[in-house]
Amino acid sequence: MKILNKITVLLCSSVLLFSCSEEKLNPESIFNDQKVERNKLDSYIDQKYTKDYNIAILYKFVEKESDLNYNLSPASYESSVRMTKLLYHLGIEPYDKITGSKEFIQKYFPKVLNYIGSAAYRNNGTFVLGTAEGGVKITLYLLNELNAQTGKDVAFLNEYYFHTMHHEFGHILHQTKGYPASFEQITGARYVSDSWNDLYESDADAAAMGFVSPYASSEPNEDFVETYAYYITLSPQQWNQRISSGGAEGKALIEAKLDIVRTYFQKTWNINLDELRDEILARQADLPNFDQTSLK
Amino acid sequence: MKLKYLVILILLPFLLVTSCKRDDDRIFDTNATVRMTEAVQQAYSVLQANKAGWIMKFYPSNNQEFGGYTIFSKFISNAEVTLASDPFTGSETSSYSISPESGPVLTFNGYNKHIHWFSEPGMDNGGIGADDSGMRGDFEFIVLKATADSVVLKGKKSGSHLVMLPLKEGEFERLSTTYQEAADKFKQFMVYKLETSGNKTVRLGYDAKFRVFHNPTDELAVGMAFRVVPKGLEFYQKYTLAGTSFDFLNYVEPTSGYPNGYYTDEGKTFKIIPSTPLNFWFKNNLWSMSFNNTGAFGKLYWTVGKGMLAKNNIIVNNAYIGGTSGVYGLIFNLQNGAVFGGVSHFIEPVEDTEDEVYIELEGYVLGNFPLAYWSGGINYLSAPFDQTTFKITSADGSLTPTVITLTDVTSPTNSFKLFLKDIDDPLNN
Repeated sequence: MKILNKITVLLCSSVLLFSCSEEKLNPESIFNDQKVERNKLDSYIDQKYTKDYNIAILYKFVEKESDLNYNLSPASYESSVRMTKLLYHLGIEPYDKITGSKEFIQKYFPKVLNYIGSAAYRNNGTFVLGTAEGGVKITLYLLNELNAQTGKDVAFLNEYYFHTMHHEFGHILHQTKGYPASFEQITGARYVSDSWNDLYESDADAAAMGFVSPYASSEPNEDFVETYAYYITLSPQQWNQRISSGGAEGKALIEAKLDIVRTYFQKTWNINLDELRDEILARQADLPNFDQTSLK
Repeated sequence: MKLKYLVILILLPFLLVTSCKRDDDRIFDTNATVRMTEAVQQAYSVLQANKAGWIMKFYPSNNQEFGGYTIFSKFISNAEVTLASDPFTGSETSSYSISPESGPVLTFNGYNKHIHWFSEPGMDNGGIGADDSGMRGDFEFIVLKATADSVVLKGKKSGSHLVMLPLKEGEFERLSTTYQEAADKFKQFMVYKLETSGNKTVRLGYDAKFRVFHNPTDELAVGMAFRVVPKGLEFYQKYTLAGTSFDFLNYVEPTSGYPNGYYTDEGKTFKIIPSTPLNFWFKNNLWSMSFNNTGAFGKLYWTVGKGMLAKNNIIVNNAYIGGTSGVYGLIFNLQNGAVFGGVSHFIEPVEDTEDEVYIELEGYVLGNFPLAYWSGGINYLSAPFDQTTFKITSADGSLTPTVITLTDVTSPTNSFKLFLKDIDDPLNN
């Protein structure tokens, strides 16, 4: 027993000795960020987006942030400048003005905006215009189509960028605070999931069934944000034309849903949808005078 | 027994200590992250150190089916690079980065047509390759080696190995210009013919979108991919044509017998002769049409169209047919310049002919042409061309005429005299 005790003592002491031989950690981090020369757009994004709203804009292509299923091109510097300025003018400031502070955007707007130069083309020539991931990131495609001419074309801007942006932002808002279940009962039996693409040949066909667009018929959440995004980006005449194109019955259904959307925004977010629309329309009308390229 | 325990007692601590001792020979002196950081830094330093820039032979797809190009680069800071490639003119500056991934990865992360044209989808590059993958080139490369005498890259998607070689002072500007001029000259010609001994000629398989020749006598042979360089054509590897093996063809300046010059191998055993048959000359230029230069059959349609256009307040300032920038069809200058565009048509040179062309409505909108204008009367201007084969004649017998006549091969009264110069107010002239 004596010998066994001695062995135990020796073992313990050797273990202790070994554990004491640990090297000291090097205080310098091995992860060194490369300092890259900054340009005017970097400073503008810092000042207008990151400092005030904690939003980052990835205008330089980052593969791991992109959709690896598609063959994509980076956005050009010029189109990135235009989009960054337009997004602030047409997408951020109207909410600030209507809500009276920067807090709303700060709290709910996605924290990463990812710019891609090309569309995300499928092999049949169709393409994706925008995606949102978990309320955190919005990816906007087709940036390289944005130039001096298209930058002032309201229909183009809405179709390719701002409708998508408001649509995705709408998702974040209703995922944060839900809308009344009565919304999905209005056209409850007519939601068709992925068949929306084959079912309707035109917007008018969808309007006849009580949907503001064919995509709105896929499911209630999409219907809710499509109704929202179209309403705040179209003029009253354009809105009326869109919802009337399928006849009186469809129009009445869309208007019933719009009432719920309007009430939801007023009661839940204290946003008057008509005031927000007027603000956006006024800014759209002023586009010919808006400087899209200077970064002061 | 006691002695045995004593020996064990003495040896045990040594055995334990030895087993815990960290004295393995390390393969690397530093850990992987430190080495990666150093490799990234090394790549940045080497690329920027050569202020004169770099030249790179670039075959976008690893099967070389789109042919080869030459790209010049100059890394002017640790964020910006100036690029020039031979399909275009001039150069453009955009952003780049080198980031640690599965090695240092050089990414041209801001759009620059001089590199991204090779990687963008076919929908964006003028229809070369598949709609979604285009020429399958890369704009992200793993830096395998970066030294002052060469930088070896591996395309992240294609896996192609590429080598950047250093340029000397002034070569970036000088060489990029001469390469671009050579490529511009090459693309003027749509057809290349192989001339062998006894002046026998045969048309080489060639599509102007790709820099690849196909052997007309051996359809199973692999395409011969090449780059256009100032002195001629440099091929990807050794190929055999007319029994001769070659990897470079020299350009010989025009002579009276060969007005466009020709390319030939070192032993001058064969010639590759550039030419532009009338049907390609027609297809690749924009030709002015007008009412007075339209045949009797076409006038019937144009008269109806003219009335409809006037009724719909559509002003036609110029009317063209042909191709520009890779799009083909009927193109119009309308509403005093506010609208420039039209509707795409198939304009296909008839196979094995040099002066026949088939035209058919394709139907894509070109430029900012409002679709409502099509049914507003423009469709009547297009109708006499639709699904028709025309014979082309040159007004002065030249191979590159400025005035031509298209005549329907089945109906001589359906004809159009077309001009390279503009004709204003074409419905009244």
